[in-house]
Amino acid sequence: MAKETFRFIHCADLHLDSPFRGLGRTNERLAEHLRKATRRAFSNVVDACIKHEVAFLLVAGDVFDSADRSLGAQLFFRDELAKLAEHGICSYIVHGNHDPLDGWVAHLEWPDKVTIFSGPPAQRQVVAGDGGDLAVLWGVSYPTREVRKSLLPGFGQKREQLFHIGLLHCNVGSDTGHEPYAPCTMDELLRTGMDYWALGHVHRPGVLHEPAPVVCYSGTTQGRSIAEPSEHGCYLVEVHESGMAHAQFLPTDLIRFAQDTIAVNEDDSLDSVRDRLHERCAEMLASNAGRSLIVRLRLEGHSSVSPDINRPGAEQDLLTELRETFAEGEPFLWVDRLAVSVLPPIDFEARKKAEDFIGELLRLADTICEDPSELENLQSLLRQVYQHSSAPQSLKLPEPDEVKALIKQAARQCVERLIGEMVE
Amino acid sequence: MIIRKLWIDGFGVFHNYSLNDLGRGVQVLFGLNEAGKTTLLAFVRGMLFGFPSARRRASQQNLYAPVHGGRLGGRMELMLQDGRAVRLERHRQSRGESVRVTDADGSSLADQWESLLGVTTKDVFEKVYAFGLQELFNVDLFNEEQLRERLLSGTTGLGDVSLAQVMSSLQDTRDSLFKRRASKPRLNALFKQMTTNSHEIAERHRDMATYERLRRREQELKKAIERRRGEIDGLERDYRYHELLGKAYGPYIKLRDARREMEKLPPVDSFPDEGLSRFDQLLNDRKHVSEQLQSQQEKLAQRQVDLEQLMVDEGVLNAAAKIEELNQRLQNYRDDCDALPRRESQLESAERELQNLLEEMGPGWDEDRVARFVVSVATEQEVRQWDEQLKGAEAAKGAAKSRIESAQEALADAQKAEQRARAALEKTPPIEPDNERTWEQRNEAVERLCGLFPEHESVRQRIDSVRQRIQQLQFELQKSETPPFVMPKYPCWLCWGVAAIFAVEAIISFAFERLMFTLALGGLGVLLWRIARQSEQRLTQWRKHREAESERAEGEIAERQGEISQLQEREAGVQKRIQSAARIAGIEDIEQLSLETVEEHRFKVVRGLQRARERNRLRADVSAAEEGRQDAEQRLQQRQQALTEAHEHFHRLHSQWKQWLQEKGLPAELMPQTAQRFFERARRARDQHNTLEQQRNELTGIRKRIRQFEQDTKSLLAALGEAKNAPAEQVVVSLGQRLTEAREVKAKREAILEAIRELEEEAEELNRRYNQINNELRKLLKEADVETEQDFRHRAKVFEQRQELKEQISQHEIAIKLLVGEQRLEQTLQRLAEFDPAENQRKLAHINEQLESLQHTQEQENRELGEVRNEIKSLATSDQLAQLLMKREALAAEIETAAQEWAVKVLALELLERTRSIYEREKQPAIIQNAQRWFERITQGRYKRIIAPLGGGEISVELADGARLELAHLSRGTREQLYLSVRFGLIEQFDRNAEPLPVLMDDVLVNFDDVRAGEATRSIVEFAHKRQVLLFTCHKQTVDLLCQADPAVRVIKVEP
Repeated sequence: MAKETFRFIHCADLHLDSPFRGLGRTNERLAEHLRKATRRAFSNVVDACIKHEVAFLLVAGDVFDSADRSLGAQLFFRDELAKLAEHGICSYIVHGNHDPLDGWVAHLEWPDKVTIFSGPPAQRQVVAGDGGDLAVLWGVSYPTREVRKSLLPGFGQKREQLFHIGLLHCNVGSDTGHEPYAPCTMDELLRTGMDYWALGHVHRPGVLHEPAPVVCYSGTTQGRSIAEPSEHGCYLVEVHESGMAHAQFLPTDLIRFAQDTIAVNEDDSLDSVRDRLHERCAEMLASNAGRSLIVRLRLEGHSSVSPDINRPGAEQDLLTELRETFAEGEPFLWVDRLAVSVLPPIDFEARKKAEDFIGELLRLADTICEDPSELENLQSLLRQVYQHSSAPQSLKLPEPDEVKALIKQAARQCVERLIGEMVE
Repeated sequence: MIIRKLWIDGFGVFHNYSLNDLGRGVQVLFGLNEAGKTTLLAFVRGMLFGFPSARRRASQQNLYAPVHGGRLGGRMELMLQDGRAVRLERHRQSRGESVRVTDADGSSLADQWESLLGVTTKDVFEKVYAFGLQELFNVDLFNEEQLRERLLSGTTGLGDVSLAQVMSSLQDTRDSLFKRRASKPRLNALFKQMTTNSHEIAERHRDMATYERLRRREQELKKAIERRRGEIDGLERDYRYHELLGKAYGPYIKLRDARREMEKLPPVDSFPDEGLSRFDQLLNDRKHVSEQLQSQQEKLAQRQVDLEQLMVDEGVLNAAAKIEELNQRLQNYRDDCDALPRRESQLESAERELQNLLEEMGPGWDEDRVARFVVSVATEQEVRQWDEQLKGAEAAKGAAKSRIESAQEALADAQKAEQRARAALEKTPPIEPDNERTWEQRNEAVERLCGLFPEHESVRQRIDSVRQRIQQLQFELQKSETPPFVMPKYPCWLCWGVAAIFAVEAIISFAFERLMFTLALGGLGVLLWRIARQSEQRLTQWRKHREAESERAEGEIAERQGEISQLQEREAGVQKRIQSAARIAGIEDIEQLSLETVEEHRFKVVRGLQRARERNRLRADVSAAEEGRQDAEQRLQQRQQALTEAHEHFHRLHSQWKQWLQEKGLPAELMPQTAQRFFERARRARDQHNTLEQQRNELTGIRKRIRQFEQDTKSLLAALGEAKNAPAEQVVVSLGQRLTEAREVKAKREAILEAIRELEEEAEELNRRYNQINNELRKLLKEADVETEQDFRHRAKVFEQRQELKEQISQHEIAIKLLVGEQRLEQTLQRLAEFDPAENQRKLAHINEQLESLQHTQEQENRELGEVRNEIKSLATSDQLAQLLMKREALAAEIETAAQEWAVKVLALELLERTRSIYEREKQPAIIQNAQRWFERITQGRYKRIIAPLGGGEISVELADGARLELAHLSRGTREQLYLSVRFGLIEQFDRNAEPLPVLMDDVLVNFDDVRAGEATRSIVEFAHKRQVLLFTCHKQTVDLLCQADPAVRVIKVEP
């Protein structure tokens, strides 16, 4: 058990300088904010270490993306650790799948009090405090990007009475939504006898097991896409003399992501829709704990305002107004996308039963959606764009389920045009 | 709509030309070449939709200027589907045309003409309703935008939207998003940007190698600069020391001189701080205090003299309160004395005014009665009510009189209206029967008859058509066909036999080269065997087919015969309904009944119905006028009665008023208006009485206050012991002045006493200060260890000189310390004792040369290090890579959005294309179905279907066996038959919800073979049942065919 009470901070998945995924074009000011967001989030972690007078900082992998090869990110990371060293705070780092040991790394002179763990097997480090040894640390870095086997076998068993911490970038369980690198199970982690598992890899923060041992994913310090909404940060862990650890979440992010759907009613006007969008944005910004916000909004419903709102340029006008209103302040709110799915008040089910051209078209769309071979045929029509030589890697040929959704959208657009509700 | 008559004033070769008695169905206009058939067709077209404009002369269009005189234009009499007659006149004018459209009575129908023509425009009429061989063959109807839209609408359920436009718009959007081998579409542009971005990112990745090289160079430079700095520092230290020795030499010389001076002075090391100045100051202070003491003594003596000269009047001061009170009341006393005579005069004047008012009110009114008399609000209200009632009764009398006059005028107007209505009814000619209901029944019966004749004709046509079909089928049954050729099998047996002989021979004689020939013969045998087998199979198939055909034909004959009996029954039923309707319609000669006689009778019935309706309307007008006159008479009587009642009411009210005056004690001659003025006067008299009472009370008060003031003055004088007979006002003023003077004297005495006290205190303070200064002077002499003032001043001077020298020595030492430091002070002083300035200068120059050389080298290294560090910093802090990565993500997001948009458009187009294909295949529009029916009939079942693409494009036809043919593969005649059928289909569709327009055809059958020409004429006759068809021809054969198809067809010879 611990000889004295001490604190440490556990963070992971900094992804310094790697870009925000899936964001459209922004203005200069916002671009500047976004570029610096990952660095500022880590600076917040460092500031928290100094403020809470922690004994050491743990970084559980994916400090940066080797593939992006940002020299600035590595220098920045070194400088921030140097700042911690000046305050007498040690740093312990393992590398993950995004920054493996064989990846692109600049040759930097690391400050004293910084320990970077090597590849397998796991190494043991004793952390010393003012009054003697504080804890025993076990950690291991990824030698290469794709580590498909568990890295746990290299971790030793707990022998001393000191507080034991495991530092690992891994995939616990099978349903994390992330690549299954260094896979292991909760039982395997518990069997090692560690008192605290500082994990990285999964971007959403969460405590997997407590009170003893505490097993945590600290998550990324700054969410970087619409798939990473809500707060992000690190865990401040306090270890008492009894050996009990208590983890408290500290948000470090500067910008958050959110999405929302706004209902459009049948008798709405363009003005009332505009007012509702502005009200909603103001609410979202007010309830975001003083942080900036990137949102995707969707207007949905059956309404007589459909011709006005689907008029070419109307969506862009609304978007521009929202950005002018909310993107200039501090904190700001940036509307990344405004999807308009406002249909004219058409009863599609009734039209489907009609013995006319539109009825025939809607029935045909349904038939195609039920036929896998037809879906495959239609999928092949889309190859020329989706498999274009210059297409980004993120652009994947739509899966059959996605093709179904596209067909439904296409059928809806056909009907709108055929009954003269839509002009392009 | 059918054309009943036409008259041409002037149009091409025609002048004053008319055609009469045109009716429903086919009207053949037969004429030789150049007889003017096409001109007639153009005339009808022009009359309905306007003549070709002179402005279109440039298009080489024939304007049909009159050749034989007359104004271009003419007249047509038309009959609408509902039986209404319309007259249309149209003439060309110098500017535009004059058009006149009227009904049978000459009323204008100009505003209804457009709606009668419905949606059919001039263009549509020229292409669909009025056509010659040229138009029939050349016009591709399905590529005509207007017609194609018409073709689609109503059948696809698309309303006003064009499928082709929707697809074209979608294609445009799709192509604006992505197009192969294009650069402008959005996705193409984005892909290009993506490629550029990837190259730029790769370029930034190469920065790493540069970074490593720069780091190595930075380390090397740092070490070299470190070494150089050590060397320079050593030399600089040496240089600075020699430089300091030069600078310290001056202060050293001054230090040495000061020390020598010091040794010459006596040792005075202590003296009071600022002793001399303090000593002088104390002497000055003592002199100043002495002068102040003398001045104080003089001021004190002067104050004592002033005090003894002042005396106070104590008696007046004791009575001060009473004197002040009388002075305060003095002004009121003066005012009362002044006001007394004025108030007495005002009272007298008021008493006179009241007396005058009482006299005006009348005898018996005095001051007491007026004070008691009160006019209440209720009484005034009653008087106003009396006034209103009497005025109302007066006004009612006047109003009743004017209403009687207006009722008399209304009666005179009603009598005139009745006379006019009776005269109008008498002018209308009588009609028999004079019953509107009977005429309506006749009109309905005529309408029914108009519908029944075409039905009867249709049934008859159908019976003929079915009979012909039976004959055709019987002819086909009897017709013999030649069976296909059957090849015998003996040639193959012959081949195989010869081959067998050769084979045997080849084996026996080992002549294996003959085996090839044997095999060839065998093969030929097999080939012949297969041909023979196939010809046998064809024969079998032919037999089966013939049996099936016979069976089908016999079945159809039986079916057709059954159909004939049904049709005959239907014909009898229709004939019976015609006779019944004719009797109701009032047609006398039922046996000689025809469509023409019905049409003539219809005009009579319409006219009779209109007259019966007119007479009914006039009779209703007379009844209404009678009722109006009786009402006016009744109203006049009622108003005379009302006037009498108004007079009686007024007199009753007047006598009630007189009685009320008496009850209230008021003069009997008062009227409500004068009563108000009387009340006003009484109110003023009472107010005047109240004012008089108030003035009397005030006068009594003034007299009482004057007496009291004079009494109080006398009492005060007695108290002071001064008995005087002066007026009260003068006594009070004099006492007031004496009191003021006594108070001033008393205040002056008190001020002088206070000043004397203050002067005594100040003199005491000055004496104390003088003693204190003397003590301090004694103490200072003792501190300086001297007895006299002279000794004190000498000792002070020596002490000051020694202090100045000490200061100089200390300053020089500090100057040298500042240059060389405290530790090296003694060492430096020793070296300066034997210092040579010239030798020092030479040493400094040598060190300086060495330093400059080293500094130059160091500057170069520092500059390079700065550059290297800048480059490293630039690489480290550059956010170009981050910007490029962000741009990559933004581009990817944009591509994703645009790709999805593109995918939706591609799938939408695919859906529309597939749906259109299904629709074309399974749900042909009604127009095509109609056209298909006519085409099948004219081609006698050879062609079963017409396929017209929904979005426009080439039309094709399907044979009975399902094979499809493009138009280019059809003969000219068949194509004309197809276009004729399509026009029939279109016209039937157009006429469904609109007035059917006349159809004009110009020799369209010339390219048809005899059989199809016959079927086509029968089709035209059937098609004309529901409309009028004007068929222009120059072929006798066409006329014969039409007459054969329908003996009732009317043939008119055209001659200009």
